[in-house]
Amino acid sequence: MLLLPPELLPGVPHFFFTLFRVPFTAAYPNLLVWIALAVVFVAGALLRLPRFIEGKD
Amino acid sequence: MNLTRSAKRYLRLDFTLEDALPTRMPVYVNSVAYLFGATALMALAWIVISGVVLTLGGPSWYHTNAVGRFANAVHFWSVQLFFVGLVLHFVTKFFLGAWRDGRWLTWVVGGLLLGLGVFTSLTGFLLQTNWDGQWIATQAKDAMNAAGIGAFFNTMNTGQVLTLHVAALPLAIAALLGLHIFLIRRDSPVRPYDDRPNPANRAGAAKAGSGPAAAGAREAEFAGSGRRTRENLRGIPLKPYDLLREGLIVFVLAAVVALALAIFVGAPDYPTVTGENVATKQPIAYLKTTVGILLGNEDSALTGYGPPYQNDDSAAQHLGPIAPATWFGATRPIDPAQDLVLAPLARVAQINPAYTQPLAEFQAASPAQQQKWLAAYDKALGAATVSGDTVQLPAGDYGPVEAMMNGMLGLGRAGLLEGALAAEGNDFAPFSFDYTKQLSYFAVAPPYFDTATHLVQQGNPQWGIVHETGNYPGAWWLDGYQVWYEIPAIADADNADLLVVTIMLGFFALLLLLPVIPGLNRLPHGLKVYRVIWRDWYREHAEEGAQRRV
Repeated sequence: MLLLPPELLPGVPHFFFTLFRVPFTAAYPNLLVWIALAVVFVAGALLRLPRFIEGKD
Repeated sequence: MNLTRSAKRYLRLDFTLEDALPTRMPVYVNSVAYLFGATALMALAWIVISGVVLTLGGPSWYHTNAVGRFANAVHFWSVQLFFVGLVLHFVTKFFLGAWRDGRWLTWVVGGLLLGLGVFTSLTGFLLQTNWDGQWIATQAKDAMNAAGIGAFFNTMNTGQVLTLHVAALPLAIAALLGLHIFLIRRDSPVRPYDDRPNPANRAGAAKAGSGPAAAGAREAEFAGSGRRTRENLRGIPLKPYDLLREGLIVFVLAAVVALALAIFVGAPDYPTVTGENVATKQPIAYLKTTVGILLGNEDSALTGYGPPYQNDDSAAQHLGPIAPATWFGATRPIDPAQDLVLAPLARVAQINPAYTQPLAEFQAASPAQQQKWLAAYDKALGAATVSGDTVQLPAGDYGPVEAMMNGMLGLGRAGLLEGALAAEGNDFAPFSFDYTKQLSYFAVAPPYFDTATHLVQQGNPQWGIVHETGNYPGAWWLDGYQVWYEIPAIADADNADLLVVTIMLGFFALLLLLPVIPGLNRLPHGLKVYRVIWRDWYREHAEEGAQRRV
């Protein structure tokens, strides 16, 4: 019998990677963060600094 | 030497108010990538704000209080945002080779801040005082102990974790962060690559022209700046900038993200696995764990562990002749059989004399006889059935062990296991914030692993501290640490934790020393990612070069 109430058991699918023949598993919340990081980094590198930060007198 | 006069001269000539709060920036600072550091800083501001709210009611009030629950969710998402900003900031500064031209100390302090931030986040995860904190405390202790840190830092001592998390570590972060920001402002943003050798080729110099009038114009551009800024940015055109406006905008954006996620997504807060719910819902697992502790099986996280719990140095993780765990001895001595089972059982016997005789019989028997009874009982548990409140075992010679185990099961079902463990050897009861015995009772037994498997990792528990919880991200910034445990040769080694800690310390040293490692410190120049971030600068440069050729 489960120790915690069933409604607290969401069940999370996993993604399996094989990197240098090493099986690496990650549940999708962390994987999503890494994907978001890559997207934000590329966007950050491509986008120019907003003009409104200049605050000209 | 007059220190006050020297400090005043430094502030007047070398680090002025304009350096500290700049209203101008070099034109190459023209990418959103420059906001990642500010994102981490402003997320940290929200961590502090929500953290101060959380301190008002102590470490556990948020479980049952709506305001506390919301503050905890803001804290959780601010931490996530903080590490997003921090990792992106680090990656950006790497690709820009930001340690160049004497800025190595800024890089090193930033690296130390990263390490300190990771450790502080670990104490925060431990401090959740819920299932996550319970799981992470028992998982993280092995690496700490293997590295010798366990002699001073106990992941299962919630009192120590709390004071570190809210006082010592934030103060250390504040001090290093102050130094980091001072160095950043003192030294100005690093110049684009290939910019320094010939002043005549610099875009700024070409644009500003030459002669006394141009020199005067350049001087006006640097009005109020210190000598170091003038030197570092010589020949670089400046543009208007508002540091506080930038900070305020990022602060508001961080608030929008953290508050929105806190409101709409919340934060995980699963109840703990207790002796009571194991004894009630998984009585056979409860008994198997308990008899395993008496047998000396590795069914408790502390059996046969060695330092810091026992003086058995051969059980400590070694790397060749080096075993950091042995350096400080058994700083927290625990005898699992006595402290986790027999002592609580003696208390049970005080309440119910029916258990006095079995306990006395067991303790009077020879070790060989004890082992025989325990082994027979342990084996019989495989064929045990649960009927109502009782566990039925096939007939066998268990001596007094069956009665003893029933006593321990009753203790668990009454919800008194943790209390009995806490009372032992504590002259300052009820004050105790060290939950080593309570947390480690089921730590390497099915109750914890089953829960972890069902809760989060569907058939593949992530043993370590990264630990995603349900649909929430975990400490993803530790994936680089966790991945080493996925290599079978390391995971199956007796010294797995020491190996991984050593590897990660090596990488951390490499990261800190990157500015001075020949070849590696030129890596960003080879990778050319900086050309994307500084593309306006290089485009302008190229145009001027073309004009000069005409």
